[in-house]
Amino acid sequence: MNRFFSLLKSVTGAFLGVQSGKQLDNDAEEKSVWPFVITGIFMTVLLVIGIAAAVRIVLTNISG
Amino acid sequence: MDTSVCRWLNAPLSRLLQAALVLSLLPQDAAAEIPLNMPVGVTDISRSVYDLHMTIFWICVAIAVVVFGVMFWSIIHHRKSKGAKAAHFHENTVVEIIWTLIPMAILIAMAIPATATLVKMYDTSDAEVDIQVTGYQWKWHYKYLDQDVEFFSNLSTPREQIENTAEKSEHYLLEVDNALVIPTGKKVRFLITSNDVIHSWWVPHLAVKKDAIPGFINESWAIVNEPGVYRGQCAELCGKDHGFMPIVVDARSPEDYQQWLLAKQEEKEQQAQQAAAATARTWTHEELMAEGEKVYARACAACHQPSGAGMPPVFPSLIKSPITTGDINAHIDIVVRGKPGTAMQAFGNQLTPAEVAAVVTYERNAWGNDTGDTVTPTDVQEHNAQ
Ligand code: HEC
Ligand SMILES: [Cu+2]
Repeated sequence: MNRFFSLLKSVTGAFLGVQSGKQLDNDAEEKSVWPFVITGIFMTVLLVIGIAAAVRIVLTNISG
Repeated sequence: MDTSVCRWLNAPLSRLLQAALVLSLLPQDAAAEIPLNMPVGVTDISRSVYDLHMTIFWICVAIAVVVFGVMFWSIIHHRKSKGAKAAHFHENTVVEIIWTLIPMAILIAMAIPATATLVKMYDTSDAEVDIQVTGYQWKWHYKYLDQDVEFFSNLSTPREQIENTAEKSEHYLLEVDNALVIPTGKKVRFLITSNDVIHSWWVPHLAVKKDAIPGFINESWAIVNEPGVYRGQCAELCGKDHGFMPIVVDARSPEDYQQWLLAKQEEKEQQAQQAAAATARTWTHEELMAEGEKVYARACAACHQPSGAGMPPVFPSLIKSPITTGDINAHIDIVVRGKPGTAMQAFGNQLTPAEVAAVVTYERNAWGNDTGDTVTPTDVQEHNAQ
Protein backbone atom coordinates (compact mmCIF):
# COMPACT_ATOMS: atom_id res chain seq x y z
CA MET A 1 0.00 0.00 0.00
CA ASN A 2 2.80 2.33 0.92
CA ARG A 3 4.54 1.48 -2.31
CA PHE A 4 1.39 2.15 -4.34
CA PHE A 5 0.98 5.51 -2.64
CA SER A 6 4.56 6.40 -3.47
CA LEU A 7 4.04 5.47 -7.13
CA LEU A 8 0.89 7.58 -7.23
CA LYS A 9 2.82 10.49 -5.78
CA SER A 10 5.54 10.17 -8.42
CA VAL A 11 3.09 10.00 -11.30
CA THR A 12 1.05 12.93 -9.96
CA GLY A 13 4.32 14.86 -9.67
CA ALA A 14 5.07 14.02 -13.30
CA PHE A 15 1.57 15.20 -14.34
CA LEU A 16 2.04 18.53 -12.57
CA GLY A 17 5.67 18.84 -13.55
CA VAL A 18 6.78 19.16 -9.92
CA GLN A 19 8.98 16.56 -8.28
CA SER A 20 11.15 16.55 -5.16
CA GLY A 21 14.66 15.14 -5.00
CA LYS A 22 13.65 12.90 -2.09
CA GLN A 23 10.85 11.33 -4.12
CA LEU A 24 13.27 10.83 -7.01
CA ASP A 25 15.69 8.94 -4.75
CA ASN A 26 12.75 6.93 -3.52
CA ASP A 27 11.77 6.03 -7.08
CA ALA A 28 15.29 4.90 -7.84
CA GLU A 29 14.74 2.08 -5.35
CA GLU A 30 12.29 0.46 -7.76
CA LYS A 31 13.95 -2.34 -9.76
CA SER A 32 11.70 -2.08 -12.82
CA VAL A 33 10.12 0.67 -14.91
CA TRP A 34 6.81 -1.20 -15.28
CA PRO A 35 5.18 -0.11 -12.03
CA PHE A 36 5.58 3.54 -13.24
CA VAL A 37 4.31 2.76 -16.72
CA ILE A 38 1.25 0.95 -15.41
CA THR A 39 0.48 3.64 -12.82
CA GLY A 40 0.99 6.27 -15.53
CA ILE A 41 -1.49 4.60 -17.88
CA PHE A 42 -3.95 4.16 -15.03
CA MET A 43 -3.73 7.84 -14.10
CA THR A 44 -4.05 8.90 -17.76
CA VAL A 45 -7.24 6.90 -18.08
CA LEU A 46 -8.52 8.52 -14.88
CA LEU A 47 -7.64 11.97 -16.24
CA VAL A 48 -9.44 11.34 -19.54
CA ILE A 49 -12.51 9.98 -17.77
CA GLY A 50 -12.40 12.95 -15.41
CA ILE A 51 -12.27 15.47 -18.27
CA ALA A 52 -15.01 13.67 -20.20
CA ALA A 53 -17.19 13.65 -17.09
CA ALA A 54 -16.52 17.35 -16.47
CA VAL A 55 -17.49 18.20 -20.06
CA ARG A 56 -20.62 16.09 -19.79
CA ILE A 57 -21.68 17.68 -16.52
CA VAL A 58 -21.06 21.19 -17.89
CA LEU A 59 -22.95 20.52 -21.12
CA THR A 60 -26.00 19.02 -19.42
CA ASN A 61 -26.10 21.87 -16.94
CA ILE A 62 -25.54 24.87 -19.22
CA SER A 63 -27.37 24.15 -22.42
CA GLY A 64 -30.48 22.75 -20.74
CA MET B 1 27.13 57.62 -20.65
CA ASP B 2 27.62 59.99 -23.57
CA THR B 3 25.08 62.78 -23.13
CA SER B 4 24.26 63.03 -26.84
CA VAL B 5 23.28 59.36 -26.81
CA CYS B 6 21.19 60.10 -23.76
CA ARG B 7 19.34 62.87 -25.53
CA TRP B 8 18.86 60.73 -28.60
CA LEU B 9 17.42 57.94 -26.45
CA ASN B 10 15.30 60.29 -24.40
CA ALA B 11 13.34 62.01 -27.11
CA PRO B 12 11.54 58.96 -28.51
CA LEU B 13 11.29 57.44 -25.07
CA SER B 14 9.51 60.42 -23.56
CA ARG B 15 7.21 60.59 -26.56
CA LEU B 16 6.39 56.93 -26.08
CA LEU B 17 5.66 57.52 -22.40
CA GLN B 18 3.43 60.46 -23.27
CA ALA B 19 1.52 58.33 -25.74
CA ALA B 20 1.11 55.57 -23.17
CA LEU B 21 -0.12 58.13 -20.66
CA VAL B 22 -2.66 59.55 -23.12
CA LEU B 23 -3.91 56.05 -23.93
CA SER B 24 -4.23 55.08 -20.29
CA LEU B 25 -6.15 58.24 -19.45
CA LEU B 26 -8.79 57.70 -22.15
CA PRO B 27 -12.14 56.50 -20.83
CA GLN B 28 -13.15 52.87 -21.52
CA ASP B 29 -15.50 53.77 -24.39
CA ALA B 30 -12.78 55.65 -26.20
CA ALA B 31 -10.48 52.66 -25.80
CA ALA B 32 -13.02 50.58 -27.72
CA GLU B 33 -12.92 53.15 -30.56
CA ILE B 34 -9.21 52.69 -31.07
CA PRO B 35 -9.02 50.19 -33.94
CA LEU B 36 -6.14 48.39 -32.23
CA ASN B 37 -8.69 46.57 -30.13
CA MET B 38 -11.34 44.15 -31.34
CA PRO B 39 -14.81 45.63 -31.93
CA VAL B 40 -17.57 45.27 -29.37
CA GLY B 41 -19.82 44.29 -32.23
CA VAL B 42 -23.56 44.40 -32.60
CA THR B 43 -24.81 41.10 -31.19
CA ASP B 44 -25.14 39.85 -27.63
CA ILE B 45 -22.59 37.18 -28.44
CA SER B 46 -20.07 39.64 -29.85
CA ARG B 47 -20.48 41.73 -26.71
CA SER B 48 -19.77 38.78 -24.44
CA VAL B 49 -16.80 37.80 -26.62
CA TYR B 50 -15.50 41.34 -26.21
CA ASP B 51 -16.09 41.28 -22.46
CA LEU B 52 -14.28 37.95 -22.18
CA HIS B 53 -11.40 39.35 -24.17
CA MET B 54 -11.14 42.38 -21.89
CA THR B 55 -11.45 40.32 -18.70
CA ILE B 56 -8.70 37.97 -19.80
CA PHE B 57 -6.60 40.87 -21.02
CA TRP B 58 -6.75 42.52 -17.57
CA ILE B 59 -5.99 39.21 -15.85
CA CYS B 60 -2.90 38.96 -18.07
CA VAL B 61 -1.95 42.54 -17.19
CA ALA B 62 -2.29 41.79 -13.46
CA ILE B 63 -0.17 38.64 -13.83
CA ALA B 64 2.46 40.56 -15.75
CA VAL B 65 2.57 43.31 -13.12
CA VAL B 66 2.99 40.80 -10.29
CA VAL B 67 5.51 38.56 -12.05
CA PHE B 68 7.65 41.33 -13.52
CA GLY B 69 7.25 43.36 -10.34
CA VAL B 70 8.72 40.56 -8.25
CA MET B 71 11.37 39.90 -10.85
CA PHE B 72 12.58 43.47 -11.13
CA TRP B 73 12.28 44.06 -7.41
CA SER B 74 14.51 40.99 -6.83
CA ILE B 75 17.00 42.05 -9.46
CA ILE B 76 17.34 45.49 -7.92
CA HIS B 77 17.02 44.62 -4.26
CA HIS B 78 19.36 41.64 -4.34
CA ARG B 79 21.96 43.15 -6.63
CA LYS B 80 25.63 42.25 -6.27
CA SER B 81 26.73 45.81 -5.44
CA LYS B 82 24.56 45.61 -2.32
CA GLY B 83 26.50 42.50 -1.38
CA ALA B 84 23.79 39.98 -2.19
CA LYS B 85 24.88 36.34 -2.10
CA ALA B 86 23.20 33.82 -4.36
CA ALA B 87 21.33 31.10 -2.48
CA HIS B 88 22.28 27.55 -3.40
CA PHE B 89 19.32 25.27 -2.95
CA HIS B 90 17.91 22.75 -5.33
CA GLU B 91 14.19 22.80 -4.94
CA ASN B 92 11.23 23.95 -2.97
CA THR B 93 8.36 21.62 -3.61
CA VAL B 94 5.81 23.74 -1.78
CA VAL B 95 6.55 26.87 -3.82
CA GLU B 96 6.64 24.85 -7.03
CA ILE B 97 3.26 23.31 -6.33
CA ILE B 98 1.82 26.73 -5.50
CA TRP B 99 3.05 28.30 -8.71
CA THR B 100 1.63 25.39 -10.66
CA LEU B 101 -1.75 25.33 -8.96
CA ILE B 102 -2.39 29.09 -9.06
CA PRO B 103 -2.12 29.35 -12.87
CA MET B 104 -4.27 26.22 -13.10
CA ALA B 105 -6.90 27.84 -10.94
CA ILE B 106 -6.74 31.03 -13.03
CA LEU B 107 -7.13 29.02 -16.24
CA ILE B 108 -10.14 27.18 -14.88
CA ALA B 109 -11.65 30.44 -13.66
CA MET B 110 -11.28 31.88 -17.17
CA ALA B 111 -12.62 28.71 -18.77
CA ILE B 112 -15.94 28.97 -16.93
CA PRO B 113 -17.27 32.17 -18.59
CA ALA B 114 -15.54 31.23 -21.86
CA THR B 115 -17.35 27.89 -21.95
CA ALA B 116 -20.67 29.55 -21.21
CA THR B 117 -20.18 31.84 -24.24
CA LEU B 118 -18.94 29.02 -26.47
CA VAL B 119 -21.95 26.88 -25.68
CA LYS B 120 -24.21 29.78 -26.67
CA MET B 121 -22.25 30.31 -29.89
CA TYR B 122 -22.69 26.69 -30.86
CA ASP B 123 -26.41 26.62 -30.21
CA THR B 124 -27.73 27.02 -33.76
CA SER B 125 -31.21 25.69 -32.94
CA ASP B 126 -34.48 27.58 -33.52
CA ALA B 127 -33.20 29.83 -36.29
CA GLU B 128 -35.79 31.93 -38.11
CA VAL B 129 -33.76 32.50 -41.26
CA ASP B 130 -31.40 29.96 -42.84
CA ILE B 131 -28.74 31.16 -45.25
CA GLN B 132 -26.28 28.92 -47.03
CA VAL B 133 -22.94 30.65 -47.44
CA THR B 134 -20.60 29.16 -50.04
CA GLY B 135 -17.03 30.29 -50.60
CA TYR B 136 -15.74 30.43 -54.16
CA GLN B 137 -12.38 31.52 -55.50
CA TRP B 138 -12.88 34.55 -54.97
CA LYS B 139 -16.39 35.55 -54.09
CA TRP B 140 -19.21 34.46 -51.83
CA HIS B 141 -22.52 32.90 -52.74
CA TYR B 142 -25.57 33.37 -50.53
CA LYS B 143 -28.66 31.23 -50.72
CA TYR B 144 -31.74 31.97 -48.61
CA LEU B 145 -32.88 28.45 -48.01
CA ASP B 146 -36.62 28.89 -47.70
CA GLN B 147 -36.98 31.98 -49.89
CA ASP B 148 -35.81 30.93 -53.34
CA VAL B 149 -33.34 33.79 -53.37
CA GLU B 150 -29.67 33.29 -54.16
CA PHE B 151 -26.87 35.41 -55.55
CA PHE B 152 -23.14 35.90 -55.76
CA SER B 153 -21.45 38.67 -53.84
CA ASN B 154 -18.42 40.09 -55.65
CA LEU B 155 -15.88 42.71 -54.69
CA SER B 156 -17.05 46.04 -56.14
CA THR B 157 -13.95 48.17 -55.60
CA PRO B 158 -12.91 49.45 -59.05
CA ARG B 159 -9.65 48.10 -60.47
CA GLU B 160 -8.29 51.66 -60.78
CA GLN B 161 -8.31 52.04 -57.00
CA ILE B 162 -6.49 48.74 -56.58
CA GLU B 163 -3.89 49.76 -59.14
CA ASN B 164 -3.42 53.15 -57.47
CA THR B 165 -4.56 55.17 -60.45
CA ALA B 166 -7.65 56.40 -58.62
CA GLU B 167 -8.20 57.63 -55.09
CA LYS B 168 -9.19 54.85 -52.69
CA SER B 169 -12.76 55.02 -51.43
CA GLU B 170 -13.87 54.80 -47.81
CA HIS B 171 -14.64 51.09 -47.89
CA TYR B 172 -11.77 50.14 -50.14
CA LEU B 173 -11.73 46.32 -50.62
CA LEU B 174 -14.59 46.02 -48.12
CA GLU B 175 -17.46 46.66 -50.55
CA VAL B 176 -19.49 44.27 -52.71
CA ASP B 177 -22.05 44.41 -55.47
CA ASN B 178 -24.69 42.37 -53.59
CA ALA B 179 -24.60 42.57 -49.81
CA LEU B 180 -25.98 39.84 -47.60
CA VAL B 181 -29.21 41.34 -46.27
CA ILE B 182 -30.54 39.96 -42.98
CA PRO B 183 -33.34 41.01 -40.65
CA THR B 184 -32.56 42.55 -37.26
CA GLY B 185 -33.78 40.93 -34.06
CA LYS B 186 -34.13 37.49 -35.65
CA LYS B 187 -31.91 34.47 -35.27
CA VAL B 188 -30.16 34.00 -38.59
CA ARG B 189 -28.33 30.73 -39.11
CA PHE B 190 -25.40 30.56 -41.50
CA LEU B 191 -24.62 27.20 -43.10
CA ILE B 192 -21.09 27.68 -44.31
CA THR B 193 -19.38 25.60 -46.95
CA SER B 194 -17.08 25.95 -49.95
CA ASN B 195 -17.06 25.12 -53.63
CA ASP B 196 -13.31 24.78 -54.03
CA VAL B 197 -10.67 25.40 -51.35
CA ILE B 198 -10.99 26.28 -47.67
CA HIS B 199 -12.21 29.81 -47.04
CA SER B 200 -13.37 31.37 -43.80
CA TRP B 201 -16.43 33.56 -43.36
CA TRP B 202 -15.48 36.26 -40.90
CA VAL B 203 -17.54 39.24 -39.78
CA PRO B 204 -15.95 40.73 -36.65
CA HIS B 205 -19.01 42.77 -35.63
CA LEU B 206 -21.10 39.60 -35.49
CA ALA B 207 -18.32 37.63 -33.77
CA VAL B 208 -18.71 35.00 -36.46
CA LYS B 209 -15.67 33.35 -37.98
CA LYS B 210 -16.16 29.90 -39.44
CA ASP B 211 -14.15 27.90 -41.90
CA ALA B 212 -15.84 27.19 -45.22
CA ILE B 213 -14.68 23.68 -46.12
CA PRO B 214 -15.62 21.83 -49.31
CA GLY B 215 -17.83 18.84 -48.49
CA PHE B 216 -18.60 20.03 -44.96
CA ILE B 217 -21.24 22.37 -43.59
CA ASN B 218 -20.27 24.46 -40.59
CA GLU B 219 -22.99 26.26 -38.71
CA SER B 220 -23.01 29.60 -37.00
CA TRP B 221 -25.62 32.18 -36.14
CA ALA B 222 -26.26 35.79 -35.22
CA ILE B 223 -29.03 37.99 -33.93
CA VAL B 224 -28.15 41.53 -34.96
CA ASN B 225 -29.73 44.08 -32.67
CA GLU B 226 -29.23 47.27 -34.66
CA PRO B 227 -29.72 47.92 -38.37
CA GLY B 228 -26.44 48.71 -40.05
CA VAL B 229 -23.79 47.59 -42.49
CA TYR B 230 -21.09 45.32 -41.12
CA ARG B 231 -18.03 44.36 -43.09
CA GLY B 232 -15.76 41.35 -43.02
CA GLN B 233 -13.30 39.34 -45.05
CA CYS B 234 -12.26 35.86 -45.99
CA ALA B 235 -9.96 34.75 -43.17
CA GLU B 236 -8.35 31.66 -44.62
CA LEU B 237 -5.62 32.07 -47.22
CA CYS B 238 -7.35 30.74 -50.34
CA GLY B 239 -5.18 31.76 -53.25
CA LYS B 240 -4.36 34.75 -55.39
CA ASP B 241 -7.37 36.96 -54.64
CA HIS B 242 -7.89 35.95 -51.02
CA GLY B 243 -7.80 39.64 -50.07
CA PHE B 244 -10.42 40.51 -52.69
CA MET B 245 -13.47 38.56 -51.50
CA PRO B 246 -14.96 40.76 -48.76
CA ILE B 247 -18.20 40.19 -46.91
CA VAL B 248 -20.83 42.87 -46.39
CA VAL B 249 -23.74 42.17 -44.08
CA ASP B 250 -26.61 44.63 -44.34
CA ALA B 251 -28.92 44.25 -41.35
CA ARG B 252 -32.35 45.79 -41.90
CA SER B 253 -35.54 45.97 -39.89
CA PRO B 254 -37.80 42.93 -40.49
CA GLU B 255 -40.16 45.07 -42.63
CA ASP B 256 -37.34 46.38 -44.83
CA TYR B 257 -35.98 42.86 -45.05
CA GLN B 258 -39.32 41.54 -46.30
CA GLN B 259 -39.45 44.31 -48.89
CA TRP B 260 -35.94 43.54 -50.00
CA LEU B 261 -36.83 39.84 -50.33
CA LEU B 262 -39.83 40.67 -52.52
CA ALA B 263 -37.74 43.00 -54.66
CA LYS B 264 -35.09 40.34 -54.98
CA GLN B 265 -37.63 37.73 -56.05
CA GLU B 266 -39.05 40.14 -58.64
CA GLU B 267 -35.57 40.96 -59.84
CA LYS B 268 -34.93 37.26 -60.25
CA GLU B 269 -37.99 36.87 -62.47
CA GLN B 270 -36.95 39.87 -64.51
CA GLN B 271 -33.48 38.49 -64.91
CA ALA B 272 -34.88 35.14 -66.00
CA GLN B 273 -37.04 36.92 -68.59
CA GLN B 274 -34.08 38.98 -69.78
CA ALA B 275 -31.92 35.88 -70.00
CA ALA B 276 -34.61 34.08 -71.97
CA ALA B 277 -34.95 37.05 -74.32
CA ALA B 278 -31.17 37.25 -74.73
CA THR B 279 -31.05 33.56 -75.54
CA ALA B 280 -33.90 33.79 -78.02
CA ARG B 281 -32.71 36.77 -80.00
CA THR B 282 -30.07 36.61 -82.72
CA TRP B 283 -26.65 38.01 -81.97
CA THR B 284 -24.12 39.27 -84.45
CA HIS B 285 -20.51 38.21 -84.05
CA GLU B 286 -19.58 41.78 -83.02
CA GLU B 287 -22.27 41.92 -80.35
CA LEU B 288 -21.09 38.63 -78.90
CA MET B 289 -17.49 39.86 -78.86
CA ALA B 290 -18.45 43.10 -77.10
CA GLU B 291 -20.58 41.30 -74.49
CA GLY B 292 -17.96 38.56 -74.14
CA GLU B 293 -15.23 41.06 -73.34
CA LYS B 294 -17.35 42.42 -70.49
CA VAL B 295 -18.20 38.97 -69.13
CA TYR B 296 -14.57 37.94 -69.40
CA ALA B 297 -13.37 40.97 -67.42
CA ARG B 298 -15.93 40.31 -64.72
CA ALA B 299 -15.82 36.53 -64.39
CA CYS B 300 -12.60 35.19 -65.87
CA ALA B 301 -9.84 37.81 -65.86
CA ALA B 302 -9.00 37.30 -62.18
CA CYS B 303 -7.42 33.97 -63.11
CA HIS B 304 -6.81 33.97 -66.86
CA GLN B 305 -5.74 37.66 -66.77
CA PRO B 306 -7.08 40.45 -69.00
CA SER B 307 -4.36 39.55 -71.51
CA GLY B 308 -5.57 35.95 -71.68
CA ALA B 309 -2.04 34.82 -70.78
CA GLY B 310 -3.12 33.40 -67.41
CA MET B 311 -0.54 32.68 -64.73
CA PRO B 312 0.94 29.32 -65.69
CA PRO B 313 1.20 26.80 -64.23
CA VAL B 314 -1.67 27.72 -61.86
CA PHE B 315 -4.05 29.37 -64.32
CA PRO B 316 -3.47 28.28 -67.92
CA SER B 317 -3.03 30.72 -70.75
CA LEU B 318 -6.01 30.82 -73.11
CA ILE B 319 -3.88 32.11 -75.98
CA LYS B 320 -3.73 29.42 -78.66
CA SER B 321 -4.55 26.88 -75.97
CA PRO B 322 -5.82 23.41 -76.96
CA ILE B 323 -9.40 24.09 -75.87
CA THR B 324 -9.82 27.71 -76.94
CA THR B 325 -8.63 26.91 -80.43
CA GLY B 326 -9.91 23.33 -80.54
CA ASP B 327 -13.29 21.65 -80.27
CA ILE B 328 -16.07 24.20 -79.61
CA ASN B 329 -18.10 21.74 -77.56
CA ALA B 330 -15.19 21.04 -75.24
CA HIS B 331 -14.79 24.79 -74.80
CA ILE B 332 -18.46 25.32 -73.92
CA ASP B 333 -18.30 22.30 -71.67
CA ILE B 334 -15.37 23.47 -69.53
CA VAL B 335 -17.03 26.87 -69.05
CA VAL B 336 -20.47 25.45 -68.20
CA ARG B 337 -19.37 22.49 -66.07
CA GLY B 338 -15.93 23.62 -64.97
CA LYS B 339 -13.24 21.10 -64.20
CA PRO B 340 -13.87 19.43 -60.83
CA GLY B 341 -10.91 19.48 -58.51
CA THR B 342 -9.41 22.60 -60.08
CA ALA B 343 -10.02 26.32 -59.65
CA MET B 344 -11.92 26.24 -62.95
CA GLN B 345 -15.43 26.37 -61.50
CA ALA B 346 -18.71 25.57 -63.23
CA PHE B 347 -20.03 28.83 -64.65
CA GLY B 348 -23.28 27.23 -65.86
CA ASN B 349 -25.14 28.52 -62.80
CA GLN B 350 -23.33 31.86 -62.73
CA LEU B 351 -23.74 32.98 -66.33
CA THR B 352 -26.75 32.94 -68.68
CA PRO B 353 -26.50 30.95 -71.94
CA ALA B 354 -26.05 34.24 -73.79
CA GLU B 355 -23.17 35.22 -71.50
CA VAL B 356 -21.51 31.84 -71.94
CA ALA B 357 -21.90 32.10 -75.73
CA ALA B 358 -20.43 35.62 -75.64
CA VAL B 359 -17.44 34.74 -73.49
CA VAL B 360 -16.64 31.62 -75.49
CA THR B 361 -16.87 33.58 -78.73
CA TYR B 362 -14.64 36.23 -77.21
CA GLU B 363 -12.01 33.74 -76.05
CA ARG B 364 -11.95 32.02 -79.44
CA ASN B 365 -11.23 35.28 -81.24
CA ALA B 366 -9.35 37.54 -78.83
CA TRP B 367 -5.57 37.70 -78.29
CA GLY B 368 -4.84 36.41 -81.79
CA ASN B 369 -6.81 33.19 -81.31
CA ASP B 370 -8.69 34.30 -84.45
CA THR B 371 -10.63 31.08 -84.99
CA GLY B 372 -13.41 33.11 -86.63
CA ASP B 373 -15.93 30.99 -84.69
CA THR B 374 -19.23 32.40 -83.52
CA VAL B 375 -20.93 30.56 -80.64
CA THR B 376 -24.60 31.42 -80.21
CA PRO B 377 -26.77 31.12 -77.10
CA THR B 378 -28.64 28.36 -78.92
CA ASP B 379 -25.41 26.38 -79.25
CA VAL B 380 -24.94 26.68 -75.49
CA GLN B 381 -28.52 25.63 -74.80
CA GLU B 382 -28.19 22.64 -77.07
CA HIS B 383 -24.97 21.70 -75.32
CA ASN B 384 -26.62 22.04 -71.89
CA ALA B 385 -29.51 19.85 -73.01
CA GLN B 386 -27.17 17.00 -73.90
C1 HEC C 1 -10.65 30.88 -60.06
C2 HEC C 1 -9.83 30.81 -61.22
C3 HEC C 1 -10.49 30.72 -62.59
C4 HEC C 1 -11.50 31.50 -63.08
C5 HEC C 1 -12.24 32.65 -62.40
C6 HEC C 1 -11.72 31.03 -64.42
N1 HEC C 1 -10.89 29.99 -64.72
FE1 HEC C 1 -10.79 28.99 -66.49
N2 HEC C 1 -9.36 27.77 -65.72
C7 HEC C 1 -8.86 27.84 -64.45
C8 HEC C 1 -7.93 26.74 -64.25
C9 HEC C 1 -7.15 26.44 -62.98
C10 HEC C 1 -7.93 26.01 -65.44
C11 HEC C 1 -7.14 24.72 -65.76
C12 HEC C 1 -7.99 23.52 -65.39
C13 HEC C 1 -7.23 22.25 -65.65
O1 HEC C 1 -6.48 21.85 -64.77
O2 HEC C 1 -7.40 21.72 -66.76
C14 HEC C 1 -8.82 26.69 -66.35
C15 HEC C 1 -9.05 26.28 -67.66
C16 HEC C 1 -9.86 26.95 -68.56
C17 HEC C 1 -9.99 26.63 -69.95
C18 HEC C 1 -9.29 25.51 -70.69
C19 HEC C 1 -7.98 26.03 -71.21
C20 HEC C 1 -7.27 24.96 -72.02
O3 HEC C 1 -7.18 25.15 -73.24
O4 HEC C 1 -6.83 23.98 -71.41
C21 HEC C 1 -10.88 27.51 -70.48
C22 HEC C 1 -11.35 27.58 -71.92
C23 HEC C 1 -11.29 28.39 -69.42
N3 HEC C 1 -10.66 28.04 -68.27
C24 HEC C 1 -12.20 29.40 -69.57
C25 HEC C 1 -12.64 30.22 -68.54
C26 HEC C 1 -13.69 31.19 -68.67
C27 HEC C 1 -14.49 31.45 -69.94
C28 HEC C 1 -13.82 31.78 -67.47
C29 HEC C 1 -14.82 32.87 -67.05
C30 HEC C 1 -16.19 32.65 -67.32
C31 HEC C 1 -12.84 31.19 -66.58
N4 HEC C 1 -12.15 30.23 -67.26
C32 HEC C 1 -12.67 31.58 -65.28
C33 HEC C 1 -9.14 28.80 -63.50
C34 HEC C 1 -10.12 29.77 -63.62
CU1 LIG D 1 -11.27 32.82 -49.45
